[in-house]
Amino acid sequence: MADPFDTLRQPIAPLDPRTEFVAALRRQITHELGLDRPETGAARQTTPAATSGTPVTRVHEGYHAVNAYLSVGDALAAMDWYVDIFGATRRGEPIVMDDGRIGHAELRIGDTVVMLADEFPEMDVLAPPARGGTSVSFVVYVPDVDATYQRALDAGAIGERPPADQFHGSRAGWLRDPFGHRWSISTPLPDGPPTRALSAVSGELGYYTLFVPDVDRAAAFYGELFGWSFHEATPTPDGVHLGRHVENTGVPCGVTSDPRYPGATLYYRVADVHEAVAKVRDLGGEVLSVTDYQAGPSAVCRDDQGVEFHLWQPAPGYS
Amino acid sequence: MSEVGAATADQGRALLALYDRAVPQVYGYLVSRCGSAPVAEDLTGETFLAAVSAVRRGTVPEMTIAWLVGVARHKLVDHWRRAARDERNLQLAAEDIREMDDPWDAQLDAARARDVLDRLGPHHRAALTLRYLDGLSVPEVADHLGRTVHATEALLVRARAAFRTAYGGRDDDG
Repeated sequence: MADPFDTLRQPIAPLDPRTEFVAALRRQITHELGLDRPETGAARQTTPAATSGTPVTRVHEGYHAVNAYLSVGDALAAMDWYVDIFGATRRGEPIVMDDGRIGHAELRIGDTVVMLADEFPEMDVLAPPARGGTSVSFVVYVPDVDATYQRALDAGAIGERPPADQFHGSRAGWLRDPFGHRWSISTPLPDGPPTRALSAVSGELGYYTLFVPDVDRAAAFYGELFGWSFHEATPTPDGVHLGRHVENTGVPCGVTSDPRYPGATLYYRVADVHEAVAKVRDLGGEVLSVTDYQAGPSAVCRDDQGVEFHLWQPAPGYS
Repeated sequence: MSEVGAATADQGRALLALYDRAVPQVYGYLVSRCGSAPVAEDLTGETFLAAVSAVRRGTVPEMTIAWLVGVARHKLVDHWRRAARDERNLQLAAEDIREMDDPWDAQLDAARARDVLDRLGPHHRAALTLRYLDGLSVPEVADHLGRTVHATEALLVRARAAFRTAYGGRDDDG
């Protein structure tokens, strides 16, 4: 006779943990294995001081512990461009190779030396266009970010993001220079970071609810499909049962039964729900209700086109 | 570098090369059985650090995902053992359940059954998970739990009885 317990057999459903967790654990095991340093095991044994992770303190004047070295299609043209746009100054004479290519040149932007050279394909030293783009960005401080951005665009740069005030206290914009390198140009805001630093997390998705006709069936389906694990939710103050929470997803979610709304509701995180609903009204939106849940106050709103969304101010412990 | 050192470095690199493919398997295994993302992350971390120790000691039989899942299974059992210590009194009460004959021809709903499993004491949960979710033989379960085969059989009988009570109990209020 078949054993009813055989129904429980559960093959592994692969599931990715949070990306930060995966990255941190990788760093840790790489470190534990001693594979986070280029030196061989033998070198490590003989020169422990060189590999102990102590930051360097001695660098040449004008250089920093980390310095940029750009590969560009036309080093002389690029130097002119960086002098014009970023106010760079030339530092020494470029080194010209026998074949006429620039083998090495230096500029100074503010307190920082930037090095550059022409492409040397035989050494796999290539400028961004030859690789289909760039994966490195440079952050450069300029006195007036808006003026520099405009001047750069006029001189052939591609604007990626126009300057805007950032939560970290700078006004910053992003552009791609004519040689394919990406720069974030930045000017500190006179008053430092905006007063409501919490606005950094406002508007991010904090929770979502799936409405389904049958919660048990949904739990079986999504549990099997994604490996979601379900927990009974606490009843809402008005006595409506929320269904079940899923806690092993990146953004936590819930599944609840309500035949009136098939689909999903999105809860956007806000620092202060009362402040946020006032703003919704100012912008021509509508606030349908505000409810105090155990997880924190939440508001049902419609935007100025009538699309419904929810705001949620997480209570302590409910981030 | 000594021969042992070179072998260790090779196995370390093999572990790193396997890491991206192994993490979802190990984490998927753990989270579906312990039912908590934070606990599953902790146990995933313990699993890979144990793998690092095994690499250092040169005791890795073969660097594969299957081996890592096996390490994860031991970490899961350790977790339940800790939980059992924390809930010793509860667990004593659970052990009190009268032993009974096993045959039971109910049709188990898998999702609901796992939900019931979440509510059992750590000992029972561990035994049933290893035996039925993972499909291990009774001697293998005994090996993981550090018990004799006979004691494991008895534990499984009690665990099945506790499970049946919980499963039936849910019937009444559901």
